[in-house]
Amino acid sequence: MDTKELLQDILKAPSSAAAFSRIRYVGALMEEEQQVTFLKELFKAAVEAREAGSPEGLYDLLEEWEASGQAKAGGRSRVLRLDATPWTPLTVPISKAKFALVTTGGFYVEGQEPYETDGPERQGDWSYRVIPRDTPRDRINVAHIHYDISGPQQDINCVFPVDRFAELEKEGVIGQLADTNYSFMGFIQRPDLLMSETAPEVARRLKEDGVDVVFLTST
Amino acid sequence: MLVMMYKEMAERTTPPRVAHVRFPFGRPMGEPDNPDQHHVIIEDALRVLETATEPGTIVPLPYRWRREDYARIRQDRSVRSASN
Repeated sequence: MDTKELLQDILKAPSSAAAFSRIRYVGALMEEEQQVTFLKELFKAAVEAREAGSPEGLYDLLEEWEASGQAKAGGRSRVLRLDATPWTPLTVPISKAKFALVTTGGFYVEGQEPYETDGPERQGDWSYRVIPRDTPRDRINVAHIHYDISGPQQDINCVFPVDRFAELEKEGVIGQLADTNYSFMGFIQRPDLLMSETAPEVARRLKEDGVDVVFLTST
Repeated sequence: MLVMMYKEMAERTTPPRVAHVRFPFGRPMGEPDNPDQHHVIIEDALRVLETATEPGTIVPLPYRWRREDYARIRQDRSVRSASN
């Protein structure tokens, strides 16, 4: 096994598990020299953590490398550039505002069509699903192959905080949570069609519903 | 108001208002079955919503994955707001 293969073997991580979601960039995107540096520092930090009786330094190290791996990935990804960012000032107090949730988590209600999580030409899926707030949680499914879905399968609120917003409504922190909320599935390789077709449609529906604030969660 | 993990993507797509969390992908509100954590993130995001004055505002949230006591953070906040 040559050095490159050896490093790949050591650093390979399951792409599906949440804990590996960002640290895997070290193995996937960094130069061999950086990977060796990472492993040396990891070894040193592990020994020092035991000596210090605290894992804090080890955790800090992992987070630093995650951040630089993510920065590397971010620099390589294709994004659609916008001419200008739209701006809608908040004109009602939060305690009076009507909120709606929109997520890229890939949720759909039983009976609805699941998403095209990859697609024949890897185009992904720019369609959306309506998720009524009172849908029994066991009827909400998730289809997404580009993040670890075990979290929302256990508790949807870690991605789509519908119960949390219902609680905030009850406490009077927000005005209300809309009856109708929305999900997309974030693997979208045709953002042009998202922007020309489905996103304006959802925006129009939110407007017609009298929504003041859209709370978006990305995955 | 957007909560996201991918800071670099936020910097390049410049949404109007972003709260950036340093959590694993697929966990914008934090861990499953941790309502205190979800509430802290939402509360912070709502503060960004209230205070942002220009498009492209990205506010980093300080929380470290699995290293914070969110029940305590909420308790401290309610004590502070009660004493104000």
